[in-house]
Amino acid sequence: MHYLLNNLNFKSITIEIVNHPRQEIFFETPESSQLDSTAKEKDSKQDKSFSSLEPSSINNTDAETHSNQQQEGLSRALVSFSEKIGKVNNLEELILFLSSQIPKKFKVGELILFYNSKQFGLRRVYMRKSIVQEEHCQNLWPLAKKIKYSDRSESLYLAQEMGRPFSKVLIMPLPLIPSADSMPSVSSSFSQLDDTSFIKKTKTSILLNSSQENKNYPVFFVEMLRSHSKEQEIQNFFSERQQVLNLILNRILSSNSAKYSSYLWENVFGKWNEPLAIIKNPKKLKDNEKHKTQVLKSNKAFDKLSEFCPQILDLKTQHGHFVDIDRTTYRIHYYPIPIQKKSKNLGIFYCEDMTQQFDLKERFFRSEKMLALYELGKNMAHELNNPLTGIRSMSQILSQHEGLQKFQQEFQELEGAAARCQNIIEKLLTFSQFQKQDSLNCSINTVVEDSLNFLKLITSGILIQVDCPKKDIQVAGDGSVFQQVIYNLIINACQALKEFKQQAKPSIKISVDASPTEKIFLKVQDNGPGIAKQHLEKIFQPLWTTKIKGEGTGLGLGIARYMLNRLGASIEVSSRCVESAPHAKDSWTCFTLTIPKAKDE
Amino acid sequence: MNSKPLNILVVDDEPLIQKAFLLAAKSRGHHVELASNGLEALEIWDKAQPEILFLDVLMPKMDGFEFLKNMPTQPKPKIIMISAHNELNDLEIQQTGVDLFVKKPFQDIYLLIEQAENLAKK
Repeated sequence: MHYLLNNLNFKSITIEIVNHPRQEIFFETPESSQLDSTAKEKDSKQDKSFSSLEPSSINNTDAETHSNQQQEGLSRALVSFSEKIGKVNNLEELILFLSSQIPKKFKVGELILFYNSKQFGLRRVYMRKSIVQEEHCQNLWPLAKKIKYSDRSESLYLAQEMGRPFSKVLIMPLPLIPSADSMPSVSSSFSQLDDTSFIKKTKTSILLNSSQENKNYPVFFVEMLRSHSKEQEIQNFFSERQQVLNLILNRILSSNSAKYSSYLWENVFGKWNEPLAIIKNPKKLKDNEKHKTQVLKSNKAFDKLSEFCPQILDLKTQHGHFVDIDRTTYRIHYYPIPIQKKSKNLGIFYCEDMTQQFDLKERFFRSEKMLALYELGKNMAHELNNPLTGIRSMSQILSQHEGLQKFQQEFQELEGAAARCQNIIEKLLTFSQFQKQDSLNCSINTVVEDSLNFLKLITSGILIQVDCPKKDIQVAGDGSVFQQVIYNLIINACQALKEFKQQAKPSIKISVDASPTEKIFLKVQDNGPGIAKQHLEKIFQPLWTTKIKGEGTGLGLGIARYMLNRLGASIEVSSRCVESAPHAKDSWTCFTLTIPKAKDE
Repeated sequence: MNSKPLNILVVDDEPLIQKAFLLAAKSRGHHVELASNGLEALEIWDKAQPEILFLDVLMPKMDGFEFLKNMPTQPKPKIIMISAHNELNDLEIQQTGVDLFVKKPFQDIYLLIEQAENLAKK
């Protein structure tokens, strides 16, 4: 059947059907075996296909010529039927088509097709008053083995399901529906169409199928409105169309089933953000020959990742471990799917994205580290002050010693060096706010200068411009706060500039605008890549950062804003991003601090 | 060199600072005793009979403030507190009861000794 299915040329199929020996089990012809078969090529049994074309009324004398004519006419009808039915795409169309094909003289009532769907279970599709309907079935329908007329059990079933009594119904089984995931052994048995062996093979395989897989194969019920003499003719009519119908139904149901699987897959795993795939493991053949692991189904995330990392399936041995691919940390999951069928060796391969979790943890630990460092720094500063004081004092004393007068200058230099060390420590303590400022005002000029001194190393290679009025400007607030903020901004700018390749020389401009109002504006502007519009507000959120893990905590700007607000100052950002305005050659980012001036006392 | 020789007690755990004070004060004619922390200072108190006390704050075993609580009542020297502990505000400094509070690092050790001499004169 599979072979035939693959041949979507229906003309040839028709011919095949007619010429092929029928499979006896399901396609037994009606009991009109009293008729002589005219074309006796093979076994009489096999030729019942032709005998079915004969009229039910016994008219033996004209049998030969009449049957020949009828054969031709009916063959044409069958060909036409087969061609047209090939265009049917779904069950609704199928039912409509069938009802159009059934001669009016047959006086049929409802057509009901009972079938088992992967998606919905037991279903029926039927036509009532020219409208096709689909419903769920409560119970499984009686499985007829051949075309026949209904008996009590079927009538009872129909009455229960359809809610009304049915008198007589023609029942046509439509078996041999290989489901979407049937064993390939069915198709392999059809691979050769050698006549004799074919029958043997198909016989056994069909038997197998019927017992295991086709426990609820579709059955087609045709309601007879009147009992009449044409019963045999009707039976023949359906009998000769049975195989084609079977094929088409097969095609439709398989396609529905496949669509549904695909739909299920897409909706559950397909849209999943994390890479997932169902894989088939290689079987070990002899002589160390192995097939590669196959990917049976995968979602987009998996495809993308496997593009980046082609050997990704080798990771399935790393179940439970963490791996880093493309700047993301994944935890690998691999679960074999237990299936009893022997040729399957399937598993689910899944990469759980742990980056966020890791990131948060890392940042948390780093901020804890920062706190510890602060404490350490504080202690160290005090500890360093002691010996430095000693060095300084000793230098002073030695320079006063009579025997060492000629070394006066050297001792002064010694003392100077020690003094510088102490200065640095002083600034460090101020910066980390472990020094309480005597006044709550500070000079913004000094703050800027001190910050830049601190950052000489990181700003190397970057042009720093400072535009500060010469006059000293006093602002309200603890200098250490401003220093920290400026420090942060400059570091951010330096990092952005270092990653951004451009023609212009990377530069940072710091300007202080002492406006006539009671506030001053301090701007830190760089000619880096800029910040995208959608990120502009986010940068002040705690823990938000575009820096890859390992750099930056994402804490700086959030804290900066908080601390500034406490002092009555504010910070804003504006930027022209290189991505959003590709034609603009110059991109920039500018942070503006608005700081209230110191109130004159 | 004009002032009379004084008994000076230096309490500081940094050896360089001890030495510096020793040399500087000696060169001005004073008598200097050294202690590395509060405990040692108490032990050496009777021998030193200090008129001037240079007292560091951060020291092991007994720090400056502890020592002040345990200091003997006699004699009563002028106390110059030298502190790396820069977190005290003015009020707290007053409450220590010292005569002079100097933050480390101090600029000029000779100047410091002069100031001490002036205090001792009063």
